[in-house]
This record gives sequence, structure tokens and C-alpha cells, in this order.
Amino acid sequence: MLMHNLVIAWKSLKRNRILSSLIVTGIALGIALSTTFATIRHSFAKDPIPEKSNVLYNVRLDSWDPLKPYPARVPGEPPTQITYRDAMEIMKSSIPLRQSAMYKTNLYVHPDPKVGKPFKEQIRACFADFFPMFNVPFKYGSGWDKKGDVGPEAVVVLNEEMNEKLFGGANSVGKTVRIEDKDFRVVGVLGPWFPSIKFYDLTQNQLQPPEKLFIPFNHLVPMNLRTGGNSDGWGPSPNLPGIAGLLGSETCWLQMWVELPKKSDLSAYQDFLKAYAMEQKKIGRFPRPVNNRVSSVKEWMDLAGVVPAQANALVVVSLLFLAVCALNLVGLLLGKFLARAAEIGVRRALGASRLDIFLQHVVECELIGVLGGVLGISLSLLTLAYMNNWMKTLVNRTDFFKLDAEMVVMAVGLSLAAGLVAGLYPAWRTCKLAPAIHLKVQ
Amino acid sequence: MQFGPILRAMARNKVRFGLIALEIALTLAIVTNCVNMIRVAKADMSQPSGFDDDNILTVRSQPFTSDFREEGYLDNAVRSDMEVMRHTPGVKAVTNSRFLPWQGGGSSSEVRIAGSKTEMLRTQVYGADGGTLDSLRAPIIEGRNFTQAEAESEATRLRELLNAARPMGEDGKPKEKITQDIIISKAFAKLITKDGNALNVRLEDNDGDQYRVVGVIGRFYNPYGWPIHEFVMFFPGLSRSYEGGMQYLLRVEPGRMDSVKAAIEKNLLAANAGRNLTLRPLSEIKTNQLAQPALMVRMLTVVIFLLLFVTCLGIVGLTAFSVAERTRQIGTRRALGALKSDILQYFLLENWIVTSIGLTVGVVLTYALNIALVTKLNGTKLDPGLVVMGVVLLWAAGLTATYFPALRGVRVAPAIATRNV
Amino acid sequence: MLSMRAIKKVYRTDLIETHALHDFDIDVKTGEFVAVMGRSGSGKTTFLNIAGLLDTFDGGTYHLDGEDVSRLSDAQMSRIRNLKIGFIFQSFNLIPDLDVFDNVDVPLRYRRLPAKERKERVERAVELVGLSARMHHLPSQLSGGQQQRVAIARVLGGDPRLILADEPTGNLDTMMSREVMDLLERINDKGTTIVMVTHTPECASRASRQIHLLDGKVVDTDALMGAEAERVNPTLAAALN
Repeated sequence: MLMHNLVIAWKSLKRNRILSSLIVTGIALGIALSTTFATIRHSFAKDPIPEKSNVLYNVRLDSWDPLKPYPARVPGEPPTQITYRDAMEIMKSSIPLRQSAMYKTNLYVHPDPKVGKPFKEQIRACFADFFPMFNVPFKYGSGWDKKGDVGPEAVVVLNEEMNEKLFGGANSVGKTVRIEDKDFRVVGVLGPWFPSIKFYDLTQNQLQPPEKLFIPFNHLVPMNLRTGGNSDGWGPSPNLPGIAGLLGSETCWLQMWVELPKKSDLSAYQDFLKAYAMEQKKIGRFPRPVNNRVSSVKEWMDLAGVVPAQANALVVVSLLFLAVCALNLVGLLLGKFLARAAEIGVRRALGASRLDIFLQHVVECELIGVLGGVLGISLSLLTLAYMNNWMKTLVNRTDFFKLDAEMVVMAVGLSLAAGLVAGLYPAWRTCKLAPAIHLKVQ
Repeated sequence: MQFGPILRAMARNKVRFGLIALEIALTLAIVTNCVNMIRVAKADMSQPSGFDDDNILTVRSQPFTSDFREEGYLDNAVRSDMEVMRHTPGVKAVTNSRFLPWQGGGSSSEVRIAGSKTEMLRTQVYGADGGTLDSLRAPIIEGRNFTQAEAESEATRLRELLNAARPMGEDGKPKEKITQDIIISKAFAKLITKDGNALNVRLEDNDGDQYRVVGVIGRFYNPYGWPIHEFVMFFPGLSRSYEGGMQYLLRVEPGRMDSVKAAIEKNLLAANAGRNLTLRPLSEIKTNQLAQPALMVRMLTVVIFLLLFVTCLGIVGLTAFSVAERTRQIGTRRALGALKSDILQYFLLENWIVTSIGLTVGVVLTYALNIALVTKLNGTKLDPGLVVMGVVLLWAAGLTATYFPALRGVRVAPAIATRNV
Repeated sequence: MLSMRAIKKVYRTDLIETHALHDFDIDVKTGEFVAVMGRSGSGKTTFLNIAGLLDTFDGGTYHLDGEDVSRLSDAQMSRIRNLKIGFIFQSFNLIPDLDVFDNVDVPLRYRRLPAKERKERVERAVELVGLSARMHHLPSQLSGGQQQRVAIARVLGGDPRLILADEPTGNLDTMMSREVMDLLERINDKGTTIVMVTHTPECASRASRQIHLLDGKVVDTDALMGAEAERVNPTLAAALN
């Protein structure tokens, strides 16, 4: 019967092609817009590291100015990054399974002169735990070990693209890369690693792909490195010049992440941070009320405002748009179905029950919904391609807006729901038509 | 008029007319709020910077040979770069400054009137040399500009000061205070002094260092992460280091951007090959900075047009059914002496009533949606004028969308009435 | 086959009540071919709608094929229409999107018959009306007489006990009318009860009995007598049915 109803529905749509294409176009536009905007929002909002996001936490401490709170995006939040002296102290905790403070720095990479000129590159300086903590895949070799952190050893991890550029894609483990005036030994080459957003450092361009080179954190002092990211300070300037001033200052410039596999670890770690803050108060630091944050990936993304407010507004607008399309559909279907009263009278006379008639029309509405959905999803693929093209000029990524399985399911669900919601009332009205009235005159 | 009969006929089709009314109500709510968002985005985009955006070329020089680590070499290299650029045909003015307009950020600091206990006020802060304001084409309106000699001597003084530890006083601030001359924007002048008369006013920062206002420029707008887009404080100095590299801003003769760009790149590399150069017209940086609101405007415009299309489609459909259903009735009316214009009027009036009901509900919905957007999603409040415009627009759209299908009703022949009973 | 007692049907609007049928009695025996005649507004169509369970009524009792159908649900009425009753309309009422085969197939689908049996029934019925060659034509490609024959095939496919025909020849010329009437007679000969509303005396004359309606009542003496007889001896009447 379902197949038969589908055939009837298809024939019914073919009968009035213009009206049918208008109806389908209407719903397709609604689906296209809501799918596009929902996908845009989803591309920002989706979990960048789903397999581990439940055990990873961003750590922040409120070491800010006693006179006024940190001017955070969300009032009451501590600074988005932490100071060097705090990072070094809390890194001593043994509660986290893995942990790393980190920063990015812009340095000159000097390739073999045969390969090309020196070029400035963003480099992430982090601890050995960075790679296992964030499930970073390796193609060749691995990250450095904890000894590499302490030395610090002159070791570097390249991503695939950088390995391609410097070594033509060969296994470069053991080879040397010159960064500024120092030679670094390659210990690992990453496999493909493209988190949807650069979740581990949301302080600057969040959509940029991860850095292409990674070196141990502690090259900071010997190489006199400076952060390539934001640094927020307050109060008097440090009284020492250069890096020494920075290390002892209240300037917040490091990102700090910990991996806490158990919920009990989380509370233990929070207790540890609280104790640390209280301890610091004794020496006159942490002048503000204790305001530590151990935020999950999702929480941190929300606080950092990863999803632009406009993306949310557009989703709201597009859902309302879909509602208008559905209302429109109700009106058009009502007219279409009621215009068919005579045929329904015949079917009723031939023994169709109300349910038969109702189902026949619901199937027709669903067919419209599905056709609209397919057309709408195709349209949204076009708009997303346009969006990706636009992104390319901004952050050099062409894959940011992706219609993934979740979004396709949502789009199909929306189409079916739109068809059903729009169809229920007309189908109900139609099946309530008295069978006798419309048989006599045609 | 035939208000009564029309209303009674509509009351018998409550659902169908109700649907259209609701559709119109939602359309008004969405269109008005979208136009509002467009206006906000457009306002952001059309802010004049106060600079000659179209004719400024930005040049970044990033040295990689270690000679540049030595200050003397660095200074000479910058001096020779400036000479090279100044003598390139088509270049009107050159500056070495870290200030890069339209990049969506920069550096900032906090100051207040010296000796006062008022709250610290945040402002953008950049170094400037003798040619900075000329390169931006942001003229002094009060006081004086910096000279190149002033910029160079101040740069040397600061470098010496910051290369050693500053002795600290009891209060944890440097014992010895520095005083510098600064140029600020008129907007910042108005923020720090009630009357905007800031010339010779002294400011102090968190270290107690002091700044004396010697010049004021007019318009300054550089979008920033904090709401300090129009506030700036320039101090005399040079912006150069091995790590940070050098940045130059060049003002070129209108229409010569491309040729100047090519010439500069060639000449600078010929002067010193130990660095990488990035040359970008400021207009390109500005376009990138404004890409997001521009895209937003485009998307919202598409939404508005599609929405009006869909709603008109609904009205056309409703009227068409209405006409088809009443073919016989129309014939009868015509047979009884109704003019074509009476029939047209009937349908237009019917639509006008539905639209008006929808718009009444719509005004309420519009404000409800706006309140939701303002409180939840950082929206901006509606201008009542926009709502009025939306209402007029939808009235017009409704009548237009009714007119054409109603014409079919008008063409119904009176003879229909007698056919095939 | 069909027995109505004191049937009442009132159409109400805001202002007036119209008594379409009142105190309406009628009996049709199994195998009869009854022609119902009467002027416009005499209640013919109302009678046919009620008889075909297309419309409800406000009073009285109605037995169809021995079963009281006065208080059935909509679904039950649909089922009876599908199984026991076949309709033939003045305007054929074929479904314009469907070809001959599919049109005849419609009621069989509502009967949820398996595909194979439906196919057999459709082919047999279409053959009976002589349109096998037109099996996949659309209604618009057929003449009026052919369309009405398809409508009759649609009835035959369902193998109903009762056929209700509403002016079956009203839209046809004389030649075609004759063909259709011949077909109906042949169906009746095989034992199917037919009740036909008609204006034309020529058609009415083909029926085995004629009933006249006037102002919602039966004025035909035969029918009245039949009704009397049943009232006198219901057992006998039932036996006859």
C-alpha cells in the first residue's frame, strides 16, 4: 500500500507540474537555508576532539589586577591564559595523567638552500604530553620524551605539509632542521591532523589549522623566544628587560591543558588549584577572590565565543524561514487537496476508509518533503562550497564548512518533519470530506 | 463596502486565511529583524578610518640574516629602506610604524589624567615617526606633529632605558619616571577631558610614566577587540627589531598602486636581500577585515528575498485557489451585474484584510524576535521606522501577489453561472 | 437485499431545514433491477447516497443484505462499500491520473487483495466490458461510453452484491446509452442486484421494477405493497430476500 500511495503521490505531483515545482521549491529553499546555516554553526560548534573531549580540560587562574576584574568576554571569567610562573608551579602537580603549558612563537626556519629561502613560520612550543594528550597522529617517528622537555633537547616534530616542503615527504626522522640559529633534530612527522578548530589555543584565529612545527617548551629562555599570540598584562611593567621580565611578570600568555581521566581526578585537581591560589595569596599574589577554572573543551569553546553570535542568529532566522515555508505549504496543500474533493469522493465510494485517504495524502506530503529535502540539501552543498571558497581567502582552508553525516541526518529529519507538519492538517481535512457531496457534479 | 460579506466568507475559512496571516506575520518579523542586522553590519563596514585607505601600501620586512640582530646594522638598514622607498616614483610619504590599520587589533594601554584618581582609560597605542600621519593622511587639527629627529632620539632614549632593569620604588613602580610627548585622536581627547580640549594635558600610565599631549588628529577608526576603535595615542619612536621585523606604510599616488608595489619590492630586495618581504595594499587588508560583515549582509539579503518570494508564492496560491473555488460564484455575481472592477476589488480587499491582520500580529512578533535576539544573541534594538517600512513593503507585496491571480477571476465569463448545473 | 424503514434525512443550514427524505420505506429484493425515478429534488440522490452508505440518515432503519447498517462507524461503512456495493456515476468519476487497469484496480487495493488476484480480477472485468485492448489508456483518451464501461468494469472487478447507478447514461448519447444498458442487463442476469436512478423512461423500462419518488417519499404502488407484505409477515419477507 505504501508503494501504491507513493505512485499515487507521484502522479498527483506530475498532474500540475507548475504548482508542484513551486511547492517543492518552497520547501527546498527552507531546507537549503536551514541546512546551510545549521552547518555553518555546527562547523564552529562541533566537538573538535570527540574521542577525548570528556577528559581534557583547559586551566585558568585569576591572578589579575586587584582593582578591576579581567575584561573577559563573559563577565566574571578569569584571564584566558595564565602566567609563566603559575604554569611552572601547577605543572608540578602529579594529578593530571598528562599536562602541557604551551605557546606559539614565530621563528625563522632555514631550509636547505637548495630547497628555498628562509621563511617565518608559526611554531608551537609545548611539553611532550601534548601529542598523546591530544591524540595527535604520527606518520613517522613520535613525539619527544620527557627528557626532551627538561634539557631542553633540540628536537622538532613536523607536520606532513612541512615535511613535504623541507624533505619532499620522505621519512625525515633523524634529519636536521635549522630554526633561527639552532639545529633541531626531527623526531617525528605527523599524519593528517585537522581538528575543526584550533581548540587547544582559542586566543587568536580559532579556525587556523594547527602549527606545522612543534618544539619543546623550555627553549623559551635559552632561545629568548617571545609569544606569537596574545599577552595580557596589568599593573606596572616588569622591571627586568626582555625574557627575564616576562617570566617574573603578571603577564598572562600561556595556554594550559590537563588530561583528567576520572571525575575524582577533576575534583582533586580543583582542590589542588585552590590550595595553590591560597598559597599565592600569602605572598601577596592572587589579590582577587579565588576564581580558578578547569573547563571542558565544550565549556572553553563557549567561553571563548567560538560560535559567532551571527551564526546563531542566522540559524534562528533560517528556522523561522523554514516555518514560513511550512505554513506556505499547508496553505498550498490544503488548496490542492480540497480541489481534489471529487476524486476523494470516488475513492471513498469505492471503499477507501478515512485512514486510507489520510495516509495517501500524508505520503504525498512526505514525498514533497523528501523531494524538497533532496533539492534543499543539494542547494546547501552549493552554498557551502561558496562559503568554503570564501574561507579560503581568509584562513586558507577549504574544508571548514562540511555537510557531515550529522547534518545530513538533521536535514533529512527537517524535511520529513516539515512535510509531516505541513501535511497533517490538509490530510486530516481531506479525509474528513463527506464522500457523497462531490460525486454528482464534476 | 462589502466588508461584512467578505469577513463572513473568511470566517468560514478561518484556517486557510489564518495560515496566510501567520505567514505574513512571521515574514514581517524576519524581514524587519534581518534588515536591522544588515543595517548594523553596514554601519560597521562603512566606518571611515580617517586614512587614505585606497592609496596606502603596507610593507613587512622580516630579516633572517643575523646581521640584523645588531642594532646599528638594523638602524642603517631601516634608514636605507626609507631612502629607497622615498625615492621610488609614485611614493608620496613613507613611515616606519607598527600601526597597521584594519587588521582587527593592535596594541593598547591604559592611562588617566596625571595625578587624578579616576579610572584608567584604555586606548590603542602605537609608535610614530615624522612621516606616520602624512602616510596615513590623518592631519593634525590641533598642536603639532612629531619630527623625524624627535622620533629617532626618543627611540634611542627608550631603548637604553628598557635594555636595563629600572630601579623600583616602594610602590613596586619604577622610581624614575619617563615623560613623553604624544599625539591623540579627537575622540580620545573628548573621552579624557570633558571639553575635548586636551592640548598640553598630562596623562599617566600604570608605571607612573607621563605623557603630554602635543597634537590632536581628527578622525581615527581602527576596529579593535575592545570598544576602543576611535581612541589612539601615538608616541614618537621607531619600530624595528630583529624578531618583530619592520613595517612600513607608504602612501602612493592614486592609481599607481600596482606599479609602485612592484618597484618597491624590487628596490628593497636589491638594497638588502637578507629578509623576506610581504607587500599588501591596505585596501586588501580592509576587505579581509570586513569580509565577515560583508558576507553576513549578503546572506541576510538572500534570506529576505527568498522569504518575500515564498510568502508571495503563498499569497498567489491562496488567491488562485480562492478564485478557482469561486468561479461559479463569480459568474453568478457577474450575471447579477457586478463589474470586473468589483470582482477585482473583492479579492484585493480580502487580501488586504488578511495581510493587515497578519501585520498586526507581525508587529508583535517582530518585537518579540528582536528582544530575543538582543538578549540572547547580542542583537541590536529595532528602529520603529524599519517596522513601518516592513509593514508598507508587505502590504504592497500582498496586493501585488493578489492582483495577478485575481485577474483570472475577473476574466470569468458571466455565462459560467448558467452552465452545467 | 436492501430494506429501508421510516428513513428520515434532514439537511440543516443556519436558517432552514430541508426534509430530503421522510418516512421513507423501500425494499429491493436480491436479483432485482430497480429503476428509481422522480423529479429534481424528489430525494433520488439522497436515497442513493444513503443506500450506498455515502451519507448518514437521521431516523429509521436500514438493512443491507440482512445486516443492520444504521449505526456503523465510518470505517465499517467503507468496508461494506468496498465489499458489497458498486457505484456507477453519471459523470463516470474515473480517476484522471490512472489508466484503465489502475482505475479498475483501485477498489481491489482498498480490499488489500494480493497483486496476483487483483490482476486476474481486473483483466477479467475489463474483458467483460470489452476494453482489453485499451488496458493502458488514460480516461482522457477514451470516449464517454468507453469511460462508463471502465466504470462498470471497476464495479465488476469487485464482484459486488449490489450496484448503485446514478444516471449512468446521463452523459451519453443514445448509441452509447444502449451499450451501457445492455451491459447492466447482462450483469443483472447473472444475479447482481441493481438500483438505478434515471430520468429517461427508455432506460427505466429496461428495469424489472420502477419506483417513483416525490417529495422524499416513495409513491410506487408495487414497492408499497412489498412493504406492506413485509409488515404483515416479516418472516416471509425475510425469506424472500
